[in-house]
Amino acid sequence: MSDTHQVLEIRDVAVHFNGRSGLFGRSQFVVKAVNGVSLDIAAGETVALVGESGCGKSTLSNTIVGLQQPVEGSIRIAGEEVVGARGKALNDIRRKVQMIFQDPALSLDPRSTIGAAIAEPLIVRGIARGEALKSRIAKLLTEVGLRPEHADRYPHQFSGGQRQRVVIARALALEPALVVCDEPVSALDVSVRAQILNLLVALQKRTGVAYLFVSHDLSVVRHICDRVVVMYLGRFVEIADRDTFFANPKHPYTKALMSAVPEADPRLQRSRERLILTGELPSPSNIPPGCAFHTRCPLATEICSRVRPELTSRADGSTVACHHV
Amino acid sequence: MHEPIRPLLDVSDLTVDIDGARVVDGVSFTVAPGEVMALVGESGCGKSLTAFAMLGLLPSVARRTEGRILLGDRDLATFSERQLRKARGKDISIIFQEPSASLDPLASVGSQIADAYRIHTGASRADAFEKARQMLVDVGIPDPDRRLDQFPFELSGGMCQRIMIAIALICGPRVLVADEPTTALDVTIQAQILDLMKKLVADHGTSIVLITHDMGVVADIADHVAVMYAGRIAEIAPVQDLFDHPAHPYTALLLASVPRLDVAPKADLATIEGSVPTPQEFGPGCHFASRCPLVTDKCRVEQPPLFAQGYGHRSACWHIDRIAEITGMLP
Ligand SMILES: Nc1ncnc2c1ncn2[C@@H]1O[C@H](COP(=O)(O)OP(=O)(O)O)[C@@H](O)[C@H]1O
Ligand SMILES: Nc1ncnc2c1ncn2[C@@H]1O[C@H](COP(=O)(O)OP(=O)(O)O)[C@@H](O)[C@H]1O
Ligand SMILES: [Mg+2]
Ligand SMILES: [Mg+2]
Repeated sequence: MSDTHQVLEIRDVAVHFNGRSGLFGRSQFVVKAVNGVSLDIAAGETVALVGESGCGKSTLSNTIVGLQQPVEGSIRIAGEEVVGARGKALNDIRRKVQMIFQDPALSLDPRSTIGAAIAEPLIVRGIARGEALKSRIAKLLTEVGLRPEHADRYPHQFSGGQRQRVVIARALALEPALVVCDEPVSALDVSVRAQILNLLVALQKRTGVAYLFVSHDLSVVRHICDRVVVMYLGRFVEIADRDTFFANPKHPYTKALMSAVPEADPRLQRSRERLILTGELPSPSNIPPGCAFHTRCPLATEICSRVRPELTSRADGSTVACHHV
Repeated sequence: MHEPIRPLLDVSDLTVDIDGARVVDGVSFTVAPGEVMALVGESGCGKSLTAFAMLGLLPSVARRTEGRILLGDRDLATFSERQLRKARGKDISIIFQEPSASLDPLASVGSQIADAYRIHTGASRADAFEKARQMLVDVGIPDPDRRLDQFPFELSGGMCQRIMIAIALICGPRVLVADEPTTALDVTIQAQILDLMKKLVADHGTSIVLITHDMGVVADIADHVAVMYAGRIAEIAPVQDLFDHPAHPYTALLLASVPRLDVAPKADLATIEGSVPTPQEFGPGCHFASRCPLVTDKCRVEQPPLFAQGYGHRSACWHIDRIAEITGMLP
């Protein structure tokens, strides 16, 4: 049996940080940003990761691309384990996963030309040089809707949307199997956001790349994702196919998130049943016992504060971690 | 039909220059008591400068060159700095996107709210703190006694925004200007803050000028909407009208570029080619001409006035009769 059609398989991954507080940082505590999560992503699939800020989305993304080390768990990319791997083997696996961040201004060096930025991963990996490199860059620029002559320009000569195109071109340079997109359109104006979303969809159709798409915008998620994962305080609380997810959300946290996102349609928005969460996300250095969501949950009962619900499968194929659904 | 209500706030022909560039150009709108007027538009279109100009808070490089800002029967545009200081907080207040940046990091939350009250009322310290405590309850902050003694860094962004709202409202101003008050917050906290603003309007008849770029927020809370583009109002309308019958190509495209329930997943979204011109690039005609699919020569040279399009609905476009063509061009 081969799992090679899975571009990513993560198992029981936990990522913790050491925090300090108090006078002279004397009291130490552990920030449990990610707490044992498992997920597969298939080739060509788009999986959305949603949840409030601070719930661990970026930490998990960074861990998948190798910017952060897990304290526990396994991460396989195209079937190969990366946790604990080193040297050339690791490099060969790593190039299959690339990342796009929220703020394109911060991910480009203002002193390098656009061409140099895109060339860098190709040169570092010894993949192309000279004329071949030049034509590769020209092709990448064209693919993301820019022009070959843009290669000689600098980031500041571009708008935010164009810079995000450059970042996408650079991420695609190594022909990755998976691109982790951490809030890739959140900093962009709506008209530009639509251009980038269209581009991501078109590139996927052409190359078969898979995306892990981190977003807090459920209307964007509904538009471009095949499957949705909801995260709360470092754990997954619901995983479902898009249509199931939006037609029949189950976890009370999922329902609260959905009802909090306003629909861009006054009649619909004002007639919706609303579930407004009280309170805010507790600190990941002091996660409530039992179900972490019980402190804000309208359905919580005694068991919720004692026993953590496991993710269990439901008849429609979704998995949910809740004692009451 | 509704009785036309006398507006509480009547802004007309507001114009702001920076370095000879007209960054806000003849902005006019009115807000009735207990009404929410949304100013929407992409970044750089002049929303914040419009807000700052209304309160006399423009940065030093900017100058208000024209305009009237009638609050009741007084024109804030004629006020001295001293008069403005008196009016701010008492008659008209503002809250910003980054609440933590507008709070004093070195003063307790309680003293900041109480000070805002004492400045305008001369109340005693004890009375002001009691009033501050009551405000915290009103803006939905649990455990107010503990919060009064805390400092901004001890509070979350959502909590800081509630504190800002408490400060803005403690003297009961009739107008609240909110500049992207929920943009930096999570959707769950945004929903709480929007509900708080709705309650304000319902309970106290406060008028709100809400600046946002989020059409969902507009759909949720606004009564009227002014769509700004490159320093000018492109279209202004009652909220349902704007969504149902956009009468400016920019509005129509903006609405179509947001993924909605009725758009098939992964289908192409409408886009607007190019990007917003900088004030230095503004031409003599319609500012949207460089990106408009309906553009003609006239648009490039002659600025369209706001044409009436129905009750309270106006659009600055020479080709309102061709708006339907936009729908035909959508993917
Ligand atoms: N380098 C770090 N050191 C300490 N804590 C961190 C670090 N990075 C993230 N965290 C904490 O981990 C939690 C999850 O953060 P993050 O993954 O950025 O969440 P999200 O992307 O969902 O907003 C937060 O409480 C954050 O403060
Ligand atoms: N302090 C300033 N100095 C120079 N230009 C400014 C300043 N503030 C705003 N501008 C310019 O004025 C225009 C409108 O800005 P602003 O009102 O902040 O837009 P918005 O709030 O709609 O994003 C922009 O082109 C911006 O670059
Ligand atoms: Mg993040
Ligand atoms: Mg602004």
